[in-house]
Amino acid sequence: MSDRTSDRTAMPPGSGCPGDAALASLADGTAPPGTERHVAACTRCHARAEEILEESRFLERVRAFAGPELPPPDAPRVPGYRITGVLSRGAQAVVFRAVQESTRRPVAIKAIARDGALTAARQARLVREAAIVSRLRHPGIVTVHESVRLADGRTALVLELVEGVALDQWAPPGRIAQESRAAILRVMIRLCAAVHHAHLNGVIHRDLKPENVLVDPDGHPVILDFGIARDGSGWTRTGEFAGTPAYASPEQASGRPETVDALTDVYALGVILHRLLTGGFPYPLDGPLVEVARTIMTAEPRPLRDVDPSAPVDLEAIVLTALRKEKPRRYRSAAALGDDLARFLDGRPVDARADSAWYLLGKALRLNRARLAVACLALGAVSVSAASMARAQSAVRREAAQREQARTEHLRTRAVSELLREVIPATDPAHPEVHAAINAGLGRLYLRLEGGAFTQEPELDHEIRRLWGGVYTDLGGARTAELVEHAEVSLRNGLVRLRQTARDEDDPRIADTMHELAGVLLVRRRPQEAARLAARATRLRAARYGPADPRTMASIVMEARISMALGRMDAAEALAARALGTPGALPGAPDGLLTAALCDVRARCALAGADAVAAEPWIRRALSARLADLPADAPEVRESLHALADLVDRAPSSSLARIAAEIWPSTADAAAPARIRDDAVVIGAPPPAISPPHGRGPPGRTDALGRLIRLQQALLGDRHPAIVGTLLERMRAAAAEESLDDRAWAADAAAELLARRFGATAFESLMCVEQAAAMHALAGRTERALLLGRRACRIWDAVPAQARDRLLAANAERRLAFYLHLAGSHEESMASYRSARAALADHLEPGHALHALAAAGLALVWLDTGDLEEAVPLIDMALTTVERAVQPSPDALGHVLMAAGRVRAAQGRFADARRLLETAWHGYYMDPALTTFAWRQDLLRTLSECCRALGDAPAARAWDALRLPAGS
Amino acid sequence: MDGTPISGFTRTTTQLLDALADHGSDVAWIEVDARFRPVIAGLARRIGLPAVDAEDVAQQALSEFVRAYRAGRYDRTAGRLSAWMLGIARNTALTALRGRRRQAGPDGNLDTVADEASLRGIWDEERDRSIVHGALAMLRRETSIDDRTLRAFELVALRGVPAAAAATECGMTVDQVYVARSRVTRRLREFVNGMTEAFEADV
Repeated sequence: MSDRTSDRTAMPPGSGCPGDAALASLADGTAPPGTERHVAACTRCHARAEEILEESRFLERVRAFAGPELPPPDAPRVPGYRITGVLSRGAQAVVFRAVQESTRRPVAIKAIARDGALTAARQARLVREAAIVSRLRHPGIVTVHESVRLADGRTALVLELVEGVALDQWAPPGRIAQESRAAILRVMIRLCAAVHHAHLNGVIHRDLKPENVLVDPDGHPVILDFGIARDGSGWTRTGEFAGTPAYASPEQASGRPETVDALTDVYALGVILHRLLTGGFPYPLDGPLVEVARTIMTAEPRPLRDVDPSAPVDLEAIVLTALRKEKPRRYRSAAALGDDLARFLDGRPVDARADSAWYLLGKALRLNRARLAVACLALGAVSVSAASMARAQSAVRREAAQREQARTEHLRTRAVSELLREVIPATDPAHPEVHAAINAGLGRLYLRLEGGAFTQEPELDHEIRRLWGGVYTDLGGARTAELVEHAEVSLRNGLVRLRQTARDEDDPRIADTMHELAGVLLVRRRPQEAARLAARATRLRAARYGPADPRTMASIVMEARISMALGRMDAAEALAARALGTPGALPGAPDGLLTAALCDVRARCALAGADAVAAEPWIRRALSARLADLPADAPEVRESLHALADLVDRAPSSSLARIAAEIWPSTADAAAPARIRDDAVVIGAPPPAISPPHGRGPPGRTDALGRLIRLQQALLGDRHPAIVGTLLERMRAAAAEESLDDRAWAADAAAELLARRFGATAFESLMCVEQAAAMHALAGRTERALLLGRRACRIWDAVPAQARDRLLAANAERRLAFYLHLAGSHEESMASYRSARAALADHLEPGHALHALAAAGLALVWLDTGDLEEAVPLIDMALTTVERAVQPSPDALGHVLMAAGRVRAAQGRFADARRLLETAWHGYYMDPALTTFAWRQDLLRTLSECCRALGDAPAARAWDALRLPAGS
Repeated sequence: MDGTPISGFTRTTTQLLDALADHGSDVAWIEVDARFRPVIAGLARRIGLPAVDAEDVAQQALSEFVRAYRAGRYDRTAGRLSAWMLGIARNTALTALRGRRRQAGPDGNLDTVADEASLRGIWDEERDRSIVHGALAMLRRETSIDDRTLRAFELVALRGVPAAAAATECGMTVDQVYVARSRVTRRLREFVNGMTEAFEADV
C-alpha cells in the first residue's frame, strides 16, 4: 500500500509530500499549514487531491442512494444475501433481517455475537441448533433454510422470516377481557401443538418463553430460537443451568439437567400461560439466582384467581396442573395441556380437575408395572452409566419377558395397591397435604362415579370400581375409613349395575368385582361376607377359566387369607393345599408369586399349629420364589423373613433355620430371630430414590442386604440373577451411607457375578466394574483398582466400533491412566492419558471439566517423574478450563485444584499453592471417606510444606496432624 | 441460480433480450425481473403510491411485459426496453394513483407527475439507486477485498464516520483508511459503470 501512496508523489518519500489524510482535509479547510502551498507546487499531490475530491463527490451520491438502506454496522457479509436491518440483538446472537438476492425472499439470518473465547462454544451450539430445527417441520416452528459460512469463519443460520410480534407484546399482559383471554388460549393451544411436535421428534426446547415465540398477524405462534434445545444426544454439561430463570422448572432450578425432559417444556408452557393471563409470574422472582431457584423448587405457585378473581376455576386448575413440581403430576405431554385448554374453551369438563384421582390410579398402574419389570431383572437404579444399565437390563429382561407377560390380575391389583401404599404417605406426618389432596381427589372421583359420570362408558365405570376396590384391599395402615367405605359402596353399586346389564352371572366382570369387594370387606373387618363373596368369585372363575388359571388361584389365595382372618386355619390350609395340588396349576416360574402366597398360607397355618417343623418346606418355597422374583424391599419378602424368624424360634433344628442361624448368629444383644426381624424391617425401608447429597438410608441397611444376599445364595445358588439386583441395591444403600469400602465391595461382587454369568468382557458388567475400580482406588486399594480399570477398557474394546460410546470409552481410558499413576506405572500412565486426551478432544466440547481433569492428571504424572516444565502448561490449561466450566462436579474440581496446588508448590509459588490446596481440601478432600486415598496424603503433605515455606509453622503442624501415620 | 450475478448484472439489456428470444431462459427472465422491478417500484413510490401498492405496480408492469413478449407484442425495433417499461410503469402507476384518489380524496398532483421529462428523471434516478445497491452487494461478495478494508470503506465512505475514528476501529492508520477508501471506491465505480452500461446497452 505504501508503494502505491508514494508513487503518486512527485518527490521521493520523506521530501515533504503530505499524506492522503492531509490532502483530504484540504476540502474543508482543516489541512495542516503548508499543505495547500505544497499541492499547488507538486503535480502528483495535486492530482491525488483532485482524485480524492472526485471520490468524495461520487461517494456522496452513493450515500444518498444507499444511506437509508445501509446494512447495520456490524452486519456480516453473507454470500447471496443482502442484510437490511437488525431484528433482534441478544447476548449470544444477533438476528438480521435480510433478502435472498436470487429470489428476493425475505429471510432472517442468525449469527453468533462476536465475543472472543466464547464464540467456539456458541458456534457449536448454533450448528447443533440447525441440525435440530431442520428435523422439525411444523407451521409453529421456524424453518431453517440453510446454514452458511461467513467470511470470518462463523456459521450463520438462514431462517424463515416470521413477520410478527413477540408473544408477550402480542397479548399485553394484564388486560384481560373475555375475548382476549380466549385469543390467548387459542394461541397457547397452537403453541402446545408445536412443542408437542418437537417432543415427538426427540427435541426438548428447555427455554420456552414469550420472547422466543412470535405471533403472526393471523394469530399463529411460531417458536424461534432452539439455541439450547436438547435432542436425544444429551449434550448439556452436568450442572449447567440452561434456560431463563423465570420460566425454569423445579428440575432445572435444582441443577439436575439429566432430569430435564419434555415435561420441563410443559412446565414452561404453564408459566407462559400464567404470565399471559395475569401479567405476572407464579412466584416472586426477586433476589439472587439461588433464592429464585429455591423459590421455584419449593414455593407453591400463586393461583390465577388470587391475581384475577374473574378467572374461571377450571382455567386456574389447568395452569396449576402444568406447574406441578413433581413431573408425574403434570400434564403427560404438551398435547395433553393443549387438549385440556381446548376442552376449557369448548366448555367441556377439564382433565386438570376431577380426573386427578383416576389419573393417579392409571399412573400408579403404569409406574408399578415398570417397577415390577425392573424388579424381575433384579437391577436397581445406580447412576453410573445409563447405557450400561440398559444393556445389563436387556439381557436379563429377555429371560424375564415371558414371566412378566404372564403376570396375573392379582398382581396388577397388587401393583396398584403397592404403589399407592408408597404415594399415600398416610403414616408420614411430614406430608399431610399430599394425603389430603389424594383423599380429596379420590373423594371427587367417588362422587363422579356415583353421580353417573361414567355410565356412558360401562367398561371404564367397571374398571374404576374394580381397581379402586383392589387398591384398598391391601392398603394396610394407609387407608382411611371413609375411603374404604367409598370403595365398598362403589363396588356394591358396580355389582348391582353389572347384574342389571350383564347377560348372565357368568360375566367375568361380576367375578372380578366380587373378588375386589371381598378384599375391601376383609379390610373393613367383615370377613363373613368377604368369605362368601370370595368363594363365589372362586367358583365363577373356576367355571369360566378353569381351576388352574391364575385368576382362579388369586381368588383362592383371597379365600384362604379370609379364612385365616376368621381363625379357620384348617380351612385355609385345605384351600391352599388343594390349590397347590391342582394338576397343571402353578408349577413354575410364571405364577411363582401366587405359589409363594399359597405356600405362605400353608406355612403360617403350620406355624400356628403344634408342628412348626412342618412349616419349613413352605417357608422355603415362599421365600425362594419371592427372593427370586421380587426386589429386596418388597413387603412379601419382609413377610417371608418374619416367617423365617418364627421358624428359627420354633424349630431351630430344621435345616432352613440352621442356614438362617449361620447368617444371623445370635449375639449378646439379640437372638437370631430378633436379628432377622430387624433386618426385615431395615431392608423394607429403602433410602430415597434420588439420594440427596448426604442422604442416609436406615443405619445398617448395607449389612442387612449383605446378609440377604447370603440367604439368596444359599437358597437360589450363587449365580442367580436376582442376586445382582440385591448387590446393586446394596451398592445404593452403601452410597447413601457413604461407606466407600462397602460400595467398592458391593460393586466388585456384582461385577464378578455378572462377569461369571455373561463373560469377563461382557458389557453388562461394565457399570459395576467401573464403579468398583473407582471406589477401590479412592479406598487405597490400587492393585485391585488397576485390575478392574484394565478390565473396563477391555470391555470397551470388545464393543463393536459403531456401538461404542467414544466419550465414555475415553473416560475409561482416563481413569485407567489415573490408576496406573497411583500404581506407579508412570510411562504407561502417560500413554493412557495421552490417548484419553486425544479422544476427549474429539468427542467432547471444549471447556468441559473432563479436559481439565485429564490434563491435571497428566501434569501430576510429569510432576512425579520430576519434569516440572511439562507439568506447568498442562496445569495452566486445566485451571483455565475448570474455571470456565459451568458447575464442575466437586470431585473433578477437587482433583484439578489439588494437582494445580502441587505443581505450584513445586514451582515455589507457595502462596498460590496453599490457596489452591486449601480450596481443594474444603471442597472435596476433607471427606473422611477419602482418608486412605493416596492423593489426600499428598495434598496434606504439600500443604504442610507450603505453610512451612511461608513461615506459618502452626498451620503446617495442623495439616500434619490430619495425615495418616506413615505405613498405615 | 448460484453464481448468477443478479443484483449486480453484467449482461447488457440487448444480450438479455437475445437470451429471452433464443431460449426463453428462466435465468434471463429473472434477470429482467431483478433489473426492472426495483426501478418500477421506486418510480411508483416516488409519484405517491404507498410501498405495498408500488410493489403491486411493479408486479403488474412486469407481468404485462412477460405477456406482451410471449405474445410477440413487444417489438424490439420500436424503441428501447427501458422506454417501454417506463411507459407501462407510468400507466399502471397512474391508474393505481387515480384509484386511490377516488377512495381517499385529492392528495397528489397528477399533472406534475404525468410530465414526461420529470418522469424520465425519476426513472433514471431509481435506476441509479438500484444500480448502486447492486454494486454494493457485489462489493460485499468481492473476495479480493479483505474484511478490514471493506469495513474501513463502509465506515468512512458510507456512514460518514471520521477517518480517525474509522482508523481506530479497524486498527489502521488514517492514511491507510484513505487508501482503503480509494481502492474500494475504484472497484465500486467499476461496478456502477459496468452495470449502467449494461443497463443502457439496448439497441
